[in-house]
Amino acid sequence: MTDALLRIQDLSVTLGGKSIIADLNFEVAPGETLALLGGSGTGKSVTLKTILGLLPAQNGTVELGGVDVLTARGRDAAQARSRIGMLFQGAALFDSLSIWENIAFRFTQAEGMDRKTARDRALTMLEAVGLDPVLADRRPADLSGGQQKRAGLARALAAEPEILFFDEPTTGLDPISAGMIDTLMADTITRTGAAAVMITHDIASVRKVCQRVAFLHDGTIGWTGKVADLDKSDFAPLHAFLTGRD
Amino acid sequence: MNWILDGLARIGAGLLSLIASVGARTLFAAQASWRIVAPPFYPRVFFGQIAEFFYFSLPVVGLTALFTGMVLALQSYTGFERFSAEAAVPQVVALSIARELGPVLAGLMVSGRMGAAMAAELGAMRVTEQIDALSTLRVDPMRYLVAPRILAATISLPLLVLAADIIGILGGYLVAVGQLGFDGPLFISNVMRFLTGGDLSSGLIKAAVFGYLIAVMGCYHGFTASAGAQGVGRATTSAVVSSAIAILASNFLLTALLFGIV
Repeated sequence: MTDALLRIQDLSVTLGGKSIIADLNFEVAPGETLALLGGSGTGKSVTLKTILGLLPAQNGTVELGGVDVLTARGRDAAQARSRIGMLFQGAALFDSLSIWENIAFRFTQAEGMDRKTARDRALTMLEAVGLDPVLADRRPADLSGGQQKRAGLARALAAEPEILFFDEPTTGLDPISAGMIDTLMADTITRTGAAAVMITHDIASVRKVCQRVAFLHDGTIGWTGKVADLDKSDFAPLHAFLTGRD
Repeated sequence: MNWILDGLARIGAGLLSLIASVGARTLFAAQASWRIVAPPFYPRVFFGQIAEFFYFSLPVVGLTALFTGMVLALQSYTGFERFSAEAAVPQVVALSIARELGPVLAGLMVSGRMGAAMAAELGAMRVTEQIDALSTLRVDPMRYLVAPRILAATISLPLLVLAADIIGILGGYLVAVGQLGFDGPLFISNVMRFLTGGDLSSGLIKAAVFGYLIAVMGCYHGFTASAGAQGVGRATTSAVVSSAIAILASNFLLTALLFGIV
């Protein structure tokens, strides 16, 4: 058994009586970047939400740093979750808070840090994702889609996670902004050494950011391999996906 | 025979659905209520909600109470005039406002204003994954979003009703003295002499229960919203309708309990 940071074993999720994923198995090593691909409705988002503890699983384990996050409680659960950073599809910034309060949310609300120190750290994070600190006191609605994604990434990175999850990070962005977010994600992963799991339909993004691909088909992993081997795969559903026929 | 069985099956399914729906709300209320008393607490969110509930609802509740008191004075005067009981107008205005109209009308107005606002805000947070984001940042959404709102509503509505009682009686006073020729000091002395602490406190107890119900319904429907903007719209409507029904139904039960009628 390898020293995987994230290990999914025999994971099954049923929603509304319908099996969404069944006996799913994959691993992510420390520092590794994995793209979770698949057509619409194949269970990518359900897999992600189950790993994050937002949906219940009927069977299986989700081990993060050796702790099963599906069953862990109290300090173990908090410790496991502190390893995670998440960038949501629409950034999911809190509308009622300023940008710096969003980035420092975990510090002020979960860790009891004083507001001045938290603000200073948030400003450092803003600069790290290439945003002007002058935006710190603005509300999310005042920012463009690309800026919101950057702020969302700053929030995900604020607590120095060991693993980052990206849910469709370039969806809804123009090609230039999408390219900038890809570069930022790749640079961030290299700089922090964090592992990453990315859910996306954007193959250009996968080629730029990820090392390995796991392709979901019929609720389980249909094909897995290096990004460089994507085009060599003879797995028909993956080929259909890559050529835009699924 | 089949149509009888089909009818019974439909009634049974409806009943089961009603029980499941009441059960889901009750469970939600219990989970949120536990978090009101167990730390960590979020005082900034709580005081923000107090401002929303009390300060920003005061104008609409005050106006409602003012006009209700004025209409009540006019209506009771024209009715009582028929059997020469006009002198009872101050007592009727005070009693009706303090026991019933103050808490019920304030509750309904606040459910329209704050119940809808809570459902819309939390619903929008749900469909844009902001509630999921809270969980990933190690903050319990029920504790951060729901518990402070329920506590703020339970405390604020009695304060609003107290203000509504005073403003409503003032409305009755203005019409009685300004238009119907009542003596001002006598109106006030009749109100003070007739109105008991029990009348006021029953209204305030009702208000606390209504505030709790408004927040539970608003938060529940917002928290469980789905399916984008349309889902948020549905959640908002459901929050207002269900809190209005909860207010009216619980008002009957509370009246019966508080005045020992059953």
